Amino acid sequence: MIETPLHITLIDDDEDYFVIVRDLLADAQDIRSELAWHDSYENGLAALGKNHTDVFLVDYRLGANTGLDLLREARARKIVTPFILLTGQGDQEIAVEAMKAGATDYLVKGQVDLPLIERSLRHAVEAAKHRTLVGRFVDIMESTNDLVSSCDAHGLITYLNRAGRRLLGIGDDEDLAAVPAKQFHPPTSAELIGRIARPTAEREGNWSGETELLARDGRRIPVLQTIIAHKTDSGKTEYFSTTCRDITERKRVEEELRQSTQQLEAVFRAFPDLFFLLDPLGTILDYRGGQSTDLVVPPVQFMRRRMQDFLPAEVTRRFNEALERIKGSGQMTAFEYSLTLPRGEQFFEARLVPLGAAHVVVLARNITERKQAEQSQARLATAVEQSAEAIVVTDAQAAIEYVNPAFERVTGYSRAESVGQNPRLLKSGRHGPGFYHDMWSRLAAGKTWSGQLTNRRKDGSLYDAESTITPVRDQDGKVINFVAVSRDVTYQRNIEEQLRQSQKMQAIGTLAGGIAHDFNNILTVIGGYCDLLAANTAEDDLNRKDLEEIQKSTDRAAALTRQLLAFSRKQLLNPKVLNLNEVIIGMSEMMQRLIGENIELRPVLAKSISSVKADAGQLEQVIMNLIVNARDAMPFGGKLVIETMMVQLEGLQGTPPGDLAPGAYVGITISDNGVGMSDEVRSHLFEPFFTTKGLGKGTGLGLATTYGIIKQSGGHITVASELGHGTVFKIYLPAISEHAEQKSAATASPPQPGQETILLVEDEDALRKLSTRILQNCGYTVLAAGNGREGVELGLQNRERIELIVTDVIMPLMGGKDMVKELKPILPRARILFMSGYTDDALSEHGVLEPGIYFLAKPFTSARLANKVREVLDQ
Amino acid sequence: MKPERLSILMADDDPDDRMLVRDALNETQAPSHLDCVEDGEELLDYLHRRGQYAQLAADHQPRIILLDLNMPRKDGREALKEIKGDPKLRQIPVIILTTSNAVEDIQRTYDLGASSFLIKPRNFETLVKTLETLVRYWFETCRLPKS
Amino acid sequence: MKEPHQPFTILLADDDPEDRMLTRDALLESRCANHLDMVENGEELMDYLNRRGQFAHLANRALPGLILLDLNMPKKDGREALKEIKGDPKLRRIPVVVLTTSKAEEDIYRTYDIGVNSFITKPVKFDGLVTAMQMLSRYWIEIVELPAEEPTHET
Repeated sequence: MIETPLHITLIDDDEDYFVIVRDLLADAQDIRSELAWHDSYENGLAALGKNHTDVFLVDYRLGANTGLDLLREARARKIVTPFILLTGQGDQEIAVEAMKAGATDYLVKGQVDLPLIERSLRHAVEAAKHRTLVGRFVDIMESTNDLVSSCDAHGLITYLNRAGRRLLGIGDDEDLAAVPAKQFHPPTSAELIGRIARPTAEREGNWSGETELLARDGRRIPVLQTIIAHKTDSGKTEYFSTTCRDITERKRVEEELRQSTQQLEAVFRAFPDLFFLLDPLGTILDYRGGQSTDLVVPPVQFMRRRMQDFLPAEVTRRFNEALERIKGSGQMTAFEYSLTLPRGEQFFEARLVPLGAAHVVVLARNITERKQAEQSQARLATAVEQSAEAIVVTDAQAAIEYVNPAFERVTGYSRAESVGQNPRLLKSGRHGPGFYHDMWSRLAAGKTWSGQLTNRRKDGSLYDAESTITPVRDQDGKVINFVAVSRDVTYQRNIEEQLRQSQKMQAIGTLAGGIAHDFNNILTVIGGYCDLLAANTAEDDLNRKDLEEIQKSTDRAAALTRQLLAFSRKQLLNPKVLNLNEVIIGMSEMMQRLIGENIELRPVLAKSISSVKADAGQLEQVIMNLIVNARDAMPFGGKLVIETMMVQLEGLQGTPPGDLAPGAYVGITISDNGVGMSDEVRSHLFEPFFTTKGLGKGTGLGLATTYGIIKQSGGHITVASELGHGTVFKIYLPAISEHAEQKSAATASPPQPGQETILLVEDEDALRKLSTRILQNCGYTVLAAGNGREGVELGLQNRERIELIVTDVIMPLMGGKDMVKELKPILPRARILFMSGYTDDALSEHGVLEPGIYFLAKPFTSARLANKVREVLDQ
Repeated sequence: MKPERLSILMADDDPDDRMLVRDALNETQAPSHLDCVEDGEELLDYLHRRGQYAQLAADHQPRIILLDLNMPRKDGREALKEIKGDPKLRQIPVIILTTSNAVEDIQRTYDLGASSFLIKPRNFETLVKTLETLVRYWFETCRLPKS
Repeated sequence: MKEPHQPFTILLADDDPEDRMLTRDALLESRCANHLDMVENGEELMDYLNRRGQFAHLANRALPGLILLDLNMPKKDGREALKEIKGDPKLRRIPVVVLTTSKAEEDIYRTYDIGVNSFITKPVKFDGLVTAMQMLSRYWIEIVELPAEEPTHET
């Protein structure tokens, strides 16, 4: 059934026939049609290709031309529309000719009836359709990129499409009929096709495989070939068709991939890292490379399993976190972890990279060595950083590369300030150029240098260091760095120095004190006898003059002895409770006058300081002495600072200077920025008779006396100085609580004769004899003993009579104190008068003279002795 | 005829103390004239008009002497002894002005004939007051032997 | 200023009772609170100082810290007494101030020669005397160190 209306074009110059056809078609049940009519050859010609026509009905007789002409014309124009020729009766030959010319059918005009025309139309349409289909197929064949060809059963080409021709380098027009197909294959492929492909196709219907074509120019073209065997109904192969796809590109890509894979394999084999290919959940899809000893379990156990299933919990946690991270960011992420493996704890760094949406690549690198190196380096660095010794590293040219914190602390230079500098920035100027030259020669020769250095800090202060400088070599033996390790020994030195000083002073003091003690006794004797002689010599006696000379010398000697005693800290002081601020303020006008206008006096007095106990006059002397010294050190002016402060001297770290007990002290500092003094001078500063003034000027006892006074007051004095910079004196005096100890007023001394019995105990014969005489002269009865033992004896024997014990303190066999202790119960009434060069000796442990105990200082005059004795007896 | 001002001769080895006394004397209302020597030797030279003082006018004797005790070459005690032993000099009142507060020194110097004993004050105002009292006492209240 | 002084006795030797009174009053006027002992002549003076005769009862008492000495006295005049005092090792260190009507150069010279500590011619008028006593007490009590004082750390 022809559904769509059939477009029929009738070309006939006979209008009547048109009507007949029209009426016939109108009656057609099976065909719907639309009829167009052209009444001439020319009109028909013009209509060709213009309007859509499914079938042409063409009369043979068309005037000058025939329907056949029209047909030929149409065919020449490649119009394939079916032509049905209308002939008259008897035009048999025309009909045949028409068929040959390409007409689809012919109809005898007179015999046309509806069924005939119907059948003819139908046939024409079918044929047209068929022809269209065929045409289409041919188009497809011709337009595909693949080679399509056919050959007969003997392998002779019957068809080759355009693509095939191109591929093989054959022209479109070349006639290939009866050319054997194997001409276009290299021998191996031809062999394959002949032996295997075609037989397989015949057997199974088709064969596919890779073969090669041989182009005209000799190129071998790899193709994917399909051969199909077409059989007749009887099963005999009629022809073969074949399609060949050019796979050159594909082959090339495959080769590249193969090579690339090989390379990758080689790389993986050489790669020490572990490579895992995972899915996003962590399932191990593939694994490459690495050391098998780095695996927790063998591959066979982990392939296709999840990473998380056999990693320790902590590692799993990190791994999951890493997966999360890359899920979010799509970027690479890394984490470190450690595993306990048979050969010990190993450290790894894992890197995760997302690969598309479906894969994750994990690279795990064993970083154990690196970690160990890092740790050991960190340890080393910490050791250097935390070392208490100053460490400097320089390059081979002595430019500083690194300094540790201890260096910063000791020198005051920060790391930033030091790097790049030469260590000579610490130069103190205390060492001559020879010193540094020697040091450098040693180092340049690659040797280690060790020694003591005086360096200068950033703030200008000096310190001493014990240093060792070592050259560092690379593996070729070339020096690449110097390392200097130094210890600040200033503190130590200071302590040593102080100790030496203190010991020296003590030694001198003891010596001086000892000598002075003996001296005192001797002087007392001399003076006493002088007095006696003088009393018995007339004023105009010549001997009188001589006696006076003797007395004069004795006086002189006594004065010196006094000063020596002051130095050896045994002096009679008159201590009172003082506030040092008040003392200094009281002296300030005088200080200002003394130091003059060129020097700025700066008092810095602490707001509240404790009181001290000292002899006011002596202390004022001390302060004035130091002020004047400071002034003399600044001939061109300067600044003199006098400070008071509370000082807590600790027992532990800051060892108190001198031999002071830890505790609270009031400090006075007198500092100047004058000429300073050398270490040499400073070390002798407090020695008696040491003076830097000229001969005949000063007695040189000023500072020695100062020292003695301070020591006797229970304090200490130190001096620090630097040539050209200035000097600082520091005095420490023990702080006392506010209970002022009032000493009662002295009592008068009645020098009266008496008749009492006195026990006199003195180990020095001459002095004992003299004292006995003096006292006897006064009327006393004297019982004399030479030591404590004898004294006790005499005491026992004369217990009723003795009213006063006059005794020396230091005696052989038994000293005065012990004797008194023994005699106390025996002679309860007797008063005690100690004679001594030292006030201390008479004092109890509490530093107080007990009631009933009196004291007479040596040397004493006879009058003094007499007076004192009287006074004591009168109490 | 009473001189216009009290002429004082001071022996002290410490230039600071000399300066202070001079300044303090200037501060007082009392009129005085101060000459200084540095030690016992100079003091005796001055009094005897010998050595560097040979050219000094004969009538230039001080009315009083302020004497420090601790001096080099010849200290105050020795000088005092000499002066008080010299018939030509012993009438001049000698006032000890010293840093020492030692009892022995006080007693000894009175024994030797010193007129008075003063401890050098370390407060300037006190020094001024002390010297004022001293000068006024000796110049206004006391009589002094003709120089 | 020196330490607050221990009280000492002033001994006044003057034969004229009125003069003695005047001197005492003048001392009081000048706020001098020291105990004043008086003797009439040179002999009494020496007895007093030696703690003998009528003054033996003073045996245990301290010697005066200052002696004010009139020159013209009977029985032993001031000059002699002065000589004795300054010749006695026990006594010579006591400061002696001659307080006399004399203004004779001879006296002045002589007494200094003997060793007097100062010489004061008594002012005629009372207020002059007061002034003189003021100066005297300021000098001898306030600024001068007297030998009688003991080191105060002894009990």
